[in-house]
Amino acid sequence: MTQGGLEMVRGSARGKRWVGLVMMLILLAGIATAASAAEPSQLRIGIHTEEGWMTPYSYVTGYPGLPFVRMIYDTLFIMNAERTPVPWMVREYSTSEDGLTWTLKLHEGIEFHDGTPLTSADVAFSYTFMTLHGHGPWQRSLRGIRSVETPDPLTVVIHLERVLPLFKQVPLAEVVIIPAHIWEGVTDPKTITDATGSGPYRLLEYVSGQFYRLEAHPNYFHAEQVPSVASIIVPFIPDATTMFMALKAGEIDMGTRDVPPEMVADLAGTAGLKVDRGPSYVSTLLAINNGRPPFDQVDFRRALELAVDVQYLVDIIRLGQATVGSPGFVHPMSPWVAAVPAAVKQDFAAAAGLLEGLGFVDRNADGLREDPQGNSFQQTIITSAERPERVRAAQIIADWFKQIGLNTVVQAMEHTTVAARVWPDFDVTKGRDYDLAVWGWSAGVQENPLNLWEVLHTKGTLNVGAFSDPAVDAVAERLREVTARDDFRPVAEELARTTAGKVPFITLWYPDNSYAYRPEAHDGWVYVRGLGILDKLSLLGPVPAGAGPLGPVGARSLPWIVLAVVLAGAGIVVARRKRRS
Amino acid sequence: MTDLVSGKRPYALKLFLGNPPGLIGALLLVMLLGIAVLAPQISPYDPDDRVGRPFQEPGAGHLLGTNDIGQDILSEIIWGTRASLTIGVVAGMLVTTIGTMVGLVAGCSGGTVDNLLMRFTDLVLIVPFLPLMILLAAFLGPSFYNLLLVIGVLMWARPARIIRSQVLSLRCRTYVEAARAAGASSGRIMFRHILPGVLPLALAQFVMSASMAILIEASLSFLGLGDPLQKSWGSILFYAQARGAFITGAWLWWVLPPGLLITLTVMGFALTGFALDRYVNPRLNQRQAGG
Repeated sequence: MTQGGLEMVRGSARGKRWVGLVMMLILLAGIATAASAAEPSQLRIGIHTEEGWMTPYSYVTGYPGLPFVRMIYDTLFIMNAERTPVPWMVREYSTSEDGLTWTLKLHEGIEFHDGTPLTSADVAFSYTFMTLHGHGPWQRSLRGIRSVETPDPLTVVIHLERVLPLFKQVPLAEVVIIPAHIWEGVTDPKTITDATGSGPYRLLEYVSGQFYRLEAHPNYFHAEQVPSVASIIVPFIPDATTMFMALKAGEIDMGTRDVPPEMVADLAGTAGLKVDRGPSYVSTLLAINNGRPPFDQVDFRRALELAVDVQYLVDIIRLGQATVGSPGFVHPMSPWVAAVPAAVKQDFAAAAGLLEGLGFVDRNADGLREDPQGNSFQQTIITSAERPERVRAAQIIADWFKQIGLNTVVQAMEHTTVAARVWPDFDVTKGRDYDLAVWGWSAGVQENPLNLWEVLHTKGTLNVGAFSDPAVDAVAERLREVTARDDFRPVAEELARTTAGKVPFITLWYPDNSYAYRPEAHDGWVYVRGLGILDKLSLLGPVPAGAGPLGPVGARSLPWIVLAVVLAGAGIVVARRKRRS
Repeated sequence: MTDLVSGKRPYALKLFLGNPPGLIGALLLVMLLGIAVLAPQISPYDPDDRVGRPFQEPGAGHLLGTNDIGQDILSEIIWGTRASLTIGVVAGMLVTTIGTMVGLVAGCSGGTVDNLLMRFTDLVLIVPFLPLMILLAAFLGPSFYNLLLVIGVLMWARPARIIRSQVLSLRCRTYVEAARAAGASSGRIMFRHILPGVLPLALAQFVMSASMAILIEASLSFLGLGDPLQKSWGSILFYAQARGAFITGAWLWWVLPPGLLITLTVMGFALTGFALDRYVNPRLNQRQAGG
C-alpha cells in the first residue's frame, strides 16, 4: 500500500470515528429527549391546611380543601371560569315544561379510579346518600329534590318539589358523585379513607401532617379536557412565611395561600415566579348588633357609616388591592347585579348631626358624647387577634368613631371567641353578644343570590346582626320566588338598593386575591372569577398533539440535552487523548 | 445587709464600679429607662398616628420607615420601651412576690407545709415551660393582664426555691433564735426578722425575672398570643412577621431594631442581676478571687 493510500485509509478511519462520535452525540441527545418526553410532568402545590383523606366527608375547609375534592370527584355540571354552569359528566339534558323534571344523559365510558364504570345508579346513590348524611354543602344543596330515577345506566331523571332556578349550579355543579360500591352501607361517612372518585386526579398517597400525592386519572372520560399534569405533590405548609419562602426558593410550584398585598410586588419580581391577581367574592365588614340599643336605631347606624372611609381602608390596609365595599353588600362584579350602590363618603359633620338628633351630646365637654339619658357611652369593636388586617381596620375605625365623639374600645381576641360572640354555634337563633365586630363572609355567600336572603332577611340564617327591616324583608322574599335564573338580577339589584340606606352592617372591602406560581412548571392556571386559581379547570387541558396526554416536551428536557452534549464532548476529548498517547 | 463572710458592708456603687459587666448592665437599664421616661420628648411622632405611606423604607422623614398602616416605626419602638419595661417590672414584681412568699412560708414553717409547698414547686419546675406557656396564653386570650398572669403562674417556682434556701439558713441564726426565745410569734419572726434578710436576694431574683418576662412577652407577642393593641416591642415584631417583613426585606428596619433592644434589655437586666447577686452573695466574689 502506498503512502498516499495509507493516508487515505487513516483519513477514512478518522472520518469514520468522527461520524461515529457525531452519531453518538445525536443518539444521546435523542435518548435524552425521549427520556424527558416520557418523564411524567409533576407539579408541587403547597397546601396550608390539612384536609384529611380529601373525601366529600373528611375534607375540612371550603378552601383549599374543596377544590382538591373536586379534582378527585366529578360533578354532573361544572362551573366555568365565568362561574356559569355547563354540562360536564352530562352529555345532554332536558327539562319538562313545568320545570319540575330534569332528564340527564351521562357520557359513555366514565370510570372511577379503580376501573369500575360510573352509571346513573352511582348518581342516584350519591344524591340519596348525601341527602341523608350532612357535611359541608352537600345536604343543603340537595334540598328541593323529590326523587331520582335511573331508567337506564346512562340516564338520570330528577323530580323536583319546586322549580329551582339555580338547579344547574346547585346541586348539579356542586354535589360530587361518589362510587356506590364503596360507600354503600356506610353509616359513618367521616371514617371512610378510600378517596376513589371519577375526577381527573386520584389520591395515591396521604401521609398525615406531611403531604398528599395525586396522579392523573389514566382513563378520564372527557374527550377534550384531560389532566394536564401527570402527578401532583401537595406538601403541607401551614406557615405563610414558610410557604412563600418555599415558592421563592423553587421548592414548590404554587402555594394555596393568597399572597398578601405587601408581598405581591416582591413575589412578582422574583425570577421564575408569576402572580395572578383578581377580585374575590370574600367580604370584610363591620358587623353591627342591630338588636342592642342604640344600634337598633337606623340613624345611629347611619352615623357610624358616615364616619367610615372605606376607600381609605382599601388604600391603607389592602394597599389598593381590594374593591371598596358596597352599602348593598353585593359585590360589584357579582353576576347577579349590573350596578351596586356607591360607597358612602366620609362626613364627620353629617354623622355628628345625626348623633345630636338622637340625643347623643357631649354634656361634660370631655370630647365624648353621653347617651340621651346623660350616661357615659362606650361601644366596643371586637376583632380576631390573629388577623392583623382586621385588627388594623378596627383600630382605624375606632379612631374615626372617637372623632365623632363616640367612645370606642377595640378588643382583640381569639377568632373562635369572636365567632362564639357573633355567631354562637353558627346559629343566629342563639343570639349574639357584641356591639360591633370586624367580620367576614367567604366567597360562597356572594355566589348564590339566594344567600342574600340568608344575610339580610329577618329570619336569614346568616343574619348575624339581627337586622330586621320590613322593606328589605319584602324584597328578599321576592328573591325566593324567582323561578328563572335570569330573573334574579332585577330583584337582587333592588334588594341591594333597599338595603343600602338601612345599614345592617358596613361592608368595608372585598379583597383582591393574588396567587403565586412557577409558570415553568405549569402555566395553565385559570383565574376563576371571584375565587382564584386553585380549581379543577386550572389542571385540565386539551390533549396535546403528538406529546401524549401529559404535556409537550418543554424546558424540562433542556437539562438532559445539556447532559448529553457534555457526555459526548467528554467522549471526544478522551478519544483524542487516547489517540495522541 | 452585712457581708456574710467578711462582715464588711460593701457599697452598691463601689460594687458596680468594681464590676464592669454590672456597670454596663446598669447603664443599659438607665438608658432604657431614660428612653421610656422621655418618650414623649424624643419620639418624632405619636406612635398611633398614621404619618406616612404604609411600608415606607427608612428615609429622612422616618429613620426606620413606617409599618403596615403608615405609623412611624422609630416612634413605635421608643414608646414600646415603656410597655416592655412595664411588663418586665410588673411581672418581675409579681413573680418575686409569689416566689418570696412561698419560699418564706415553706422555709419558716417546715414540716408538712414545707413539704407540700416544695413538692408543688418541684411540679411547676418540671412542667415543660414553653408548651405550657403557649397553651396558657392561647387559653386565656391576648391581653396585657393575661400575659402577666401567665408569666406569674409559670415563673415563681425558681425564686421560691432560692428564697427558701436562704430562709433555712437565716432561721438558724442567733438573732432569730433570740427572738424566738423572747416569745416572738411565728409571723413576727417571719416578717420582722427573716424577710429583711432575704430581700436583697429577692431583689436579684426580681431583676432576673424581669428580663425573662420581657423575653416571654416578646416571644408570645411574636407568636400572636400577646396583645396586638399594645405598643410593645413584641407586638411590633408580631406585625412585622405577619405582614411579610421576613420576605420583603423590611426585617432590616422593622425586626432588627426591636430585636436588638430586647437583647440589650435582657442583657442589661442579666448583668445587673449578676452584680446584685454578688452583692448579696459575696461568696461568689471569694470564689472568683480564689480562682
